[in-house]
Amino acid sequence: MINLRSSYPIAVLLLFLMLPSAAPAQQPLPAEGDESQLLTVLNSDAELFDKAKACQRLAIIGTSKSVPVVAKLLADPNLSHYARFALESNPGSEVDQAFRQALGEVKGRQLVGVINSVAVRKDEQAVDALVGLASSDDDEVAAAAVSALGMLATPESITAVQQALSGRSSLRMTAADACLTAADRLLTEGKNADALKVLSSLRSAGLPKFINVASRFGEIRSGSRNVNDLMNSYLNDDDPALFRIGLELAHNLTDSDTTGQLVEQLDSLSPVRRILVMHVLGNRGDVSALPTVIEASSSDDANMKIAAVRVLGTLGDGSVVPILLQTAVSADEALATTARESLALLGGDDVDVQLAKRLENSDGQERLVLVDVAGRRGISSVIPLLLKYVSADDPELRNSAIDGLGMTVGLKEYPQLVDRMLAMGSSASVGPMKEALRKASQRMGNRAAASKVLLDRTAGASAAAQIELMGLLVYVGGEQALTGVRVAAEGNTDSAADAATQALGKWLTPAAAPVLLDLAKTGNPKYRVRCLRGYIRIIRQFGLRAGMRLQMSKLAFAAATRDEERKLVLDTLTRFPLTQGLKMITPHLKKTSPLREDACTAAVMIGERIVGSDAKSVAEAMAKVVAVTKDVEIANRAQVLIARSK
Amino acid sequence: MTASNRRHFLKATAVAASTAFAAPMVVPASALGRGGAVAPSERIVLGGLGIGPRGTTDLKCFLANADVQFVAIADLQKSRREAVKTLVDGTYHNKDCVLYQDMFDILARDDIDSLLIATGDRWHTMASILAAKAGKDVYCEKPCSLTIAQSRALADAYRKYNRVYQAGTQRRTIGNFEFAKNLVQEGRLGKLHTIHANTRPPGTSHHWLPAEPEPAKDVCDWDRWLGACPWRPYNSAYVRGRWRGHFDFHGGGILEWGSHTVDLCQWAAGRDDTAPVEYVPNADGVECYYADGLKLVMRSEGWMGMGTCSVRYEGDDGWIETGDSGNFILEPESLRTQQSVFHRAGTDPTTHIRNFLDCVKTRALTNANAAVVAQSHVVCHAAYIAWQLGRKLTFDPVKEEFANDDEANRMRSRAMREPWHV
Repeated sequence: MINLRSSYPIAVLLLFLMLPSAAPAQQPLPAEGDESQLLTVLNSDAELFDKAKACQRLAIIGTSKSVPVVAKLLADPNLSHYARFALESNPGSEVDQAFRQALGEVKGRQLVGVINSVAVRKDEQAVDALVGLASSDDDEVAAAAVSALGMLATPESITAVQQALSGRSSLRMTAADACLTAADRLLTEGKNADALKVLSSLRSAGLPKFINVASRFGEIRSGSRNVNDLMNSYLNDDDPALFRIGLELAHNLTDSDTTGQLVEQLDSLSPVRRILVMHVLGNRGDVSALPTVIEASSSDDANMKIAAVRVLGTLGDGSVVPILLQTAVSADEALATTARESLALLGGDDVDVQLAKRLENSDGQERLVLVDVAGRRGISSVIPLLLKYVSADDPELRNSAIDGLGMTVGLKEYPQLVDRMLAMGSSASVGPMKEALRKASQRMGNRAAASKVLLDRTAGASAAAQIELMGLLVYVGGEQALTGVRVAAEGNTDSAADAATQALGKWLTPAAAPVLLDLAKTGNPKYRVRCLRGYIRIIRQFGLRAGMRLQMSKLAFAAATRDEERKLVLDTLTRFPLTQGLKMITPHLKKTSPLREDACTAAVMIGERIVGSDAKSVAEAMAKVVAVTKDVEIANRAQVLIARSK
Repeated sequence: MTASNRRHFLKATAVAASTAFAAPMVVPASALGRGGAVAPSERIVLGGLGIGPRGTTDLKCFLANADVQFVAIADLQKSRREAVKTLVDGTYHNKDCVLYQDMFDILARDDIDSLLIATGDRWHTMASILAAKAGKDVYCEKPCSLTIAQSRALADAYRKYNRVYQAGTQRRTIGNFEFAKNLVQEGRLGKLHTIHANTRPPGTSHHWLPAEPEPAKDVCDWDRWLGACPWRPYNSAYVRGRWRGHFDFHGGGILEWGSHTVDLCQWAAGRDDTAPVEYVPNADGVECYYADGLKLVMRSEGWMGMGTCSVRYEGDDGWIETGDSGNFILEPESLRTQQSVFHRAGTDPTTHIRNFLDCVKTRALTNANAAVVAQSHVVCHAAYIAWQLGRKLTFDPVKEEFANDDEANRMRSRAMREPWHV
């Protein structure tokens, strides 16, 4: 039976068994002590845990002195891997000697492990021994040896791997992998001719297709063949696996002939393959293929048509606008959607001008397409038209125009859009308009001016309108918006203060924190709790530095007038566990405190995170928790921490 | 804005605008079979390895794609594999999802093209490499590795077998992060001098939880659960997800979020093929410097409330900070006068999974392919090593070696428990 000892005393372990597992204490390295102390552990009757950790530490600091002690463990089923853990990374030549010796001594899984370590260390002096082991009756040992021989990639080891390729069937796939490994290493070292010899041995071995594919790629890397010829050949090969190699080559070959060759190939391919090659032409970005793609966009094959229309979006220019527009109003929904996507992506200086001009004279479905595309492309010259369409009777046109405006308006048109929203009342389009304004507000480069637009409109606005305007200020953001909202919050008008404090509670940056704290202490009494909760939200949700979060928590606690918010602050402290946070909680670890149980829970949660770095503080706090809490689970967790602190 | 930049920008916006819809397919379902139906012969046949809570989110996104057919799940935990079957069979209105306990049964199925891997972190590299060796394309949750050596082994395996790999670092396919990256790459922030990655507190534990009786192998095979990790006694908390924070199973807080955010920084700064050369640890994280002086700050504190996994890019002419909320703060405000409003949460893998499926079909490189994520993981591992040792380290990104620090170099790998190796 394995003699275990885990890292905590038995009483603590029992508690662990009863409780949800606490986060383990953290430490940078596996064990303390110098090499001599670690070797003493290994030579003793120490528990498995201690010996395991000693080995993991020796992996980093062990010298030649540790090799004989650790090597003795290579045959131990419980410690063999830990021994290799210690030895494998040790650069000393004594380690190689020890592993070579072990190759002749250990058996079974332990031998497999040693072989693997020899391979990792690339010990070429072990080749002879490995060649012998490659014919072991133990399949796992033989397979490990063949793999190791592939990794070593010496002439002798490669010969042995190639023999295994034609040897017993249970080793053939391992041998094939070893061939690929050896060839890859030779290619990496620039020994292309040698690599080619290894790869060619895979050709005739009757192996699965994916091995054949891998070997062919190796051959291509070795530069043995005209790659363009190969690409053309593979693209026409009946074998789908070879066709896929052709596709990959088509992606990667950068020479000028390749696009022409792909274009020439198209007609000879099956429909599905033609579509895939069409997409490759799009990905290559070579505009010399554009005439072919244009032609394909009017193909009788509906599938090819969709593919070509999609590729036009990436390869095309202004010349394909009429084609795409015509396609975008097609009754074929998939085709029309693809054309619309392509219009949105299309490059070329004159595209926007063409689309804007066309919009002026369009109607029906084409107008809907153009409104959508103009919005997605951000064509500012169509804004007057879009504003006009906001009043259209057709709800689809109206909402599409609103959406487009959200993506196109600048500061100049922003006030109009805001006024339209305020005038909409309960219209069905008010929802899309609010969303459009949120998008527009986020894009405003001149935040000060955009803020002024909104703030100017708050004067005399209805309570509902004030909430909408303040809500948009959240998305505009910046100093002026915040100042404006603050002024409204501090004002005498309840409706304005209501809207402003709601907005501050949703502010997108921590800049609102000091404003919220001030308002929580001295603002409109109706909204002080809301402001304090907004302030606590910033501590909880924003990734500020821990020290700042602690300071803010202290301020929030001091500003709180109710236990609900005080409890919220205590819980907030658990989100950035610090000794100082624990100390802030400690005064509430007493029987008379109304915050007692929340304080106990928070203290335990922090303690579990910091016990490794400040055991003393944790032990002191946990003693108080145990003394005052009525929650059995919390008391148990505190007991665990006390034990871990010792 | 140039036409090319406009495309960049509009693509990001298109992604953002598609919040309410399924991600657009490069190869639409309708292009392979009319009416959105996809012929069975053209579907990507998918299997799953180790699908828990996050994997279930991924799986639901996969199932929403008409050109995917999920056929089998392998999971060591009986309750989890049965939960997956319930979800999948409920989606397809049949009882066809096959259950396996042993991943090798699923790897052996020739009819399965691709795998969703969402095991615990300790299995990510090994399962991904085994999948490549079995000829599968892989979508694997992050982090992709626990050591520098594993990162390199992963990239090597996917180069060697030429399979498609997408790490579950979905923020590379989300609009606000792409928008921020484009601001950097188009030079609109001026010369970049500092990039910030939101990481978690770095430390891990070397303790063992108390031993509990091992369950029956059918309920949970503990030896296989451990995989290549050092043996320790069973405790049910581990298999319930409390393996996080334990060094043997987890790469620490820098890797936990850095696999996203350091990766984003590398991407934005155009450093996908390199790593910082200097690592200076502090209590909260690590400050790193690339060879040209660009500073990368890994920290958990002091962010501006843009959501989890925030990043911040600072140049001579401006800066931007963004995170999982989709919101961002930037200076100067003039940079904001774009269609830059994003609502997709940074945790949403929908578009990232679609990118993977498209690449399975077209064999293009995925957004988070093995080569680039291996590199960003190397940065996280190097930083964590510096933090563990508590000293400044100098690193050679080409050799992936620390200069004059034997201890640091020895922490680049961990021996794998027999019989596992990569």
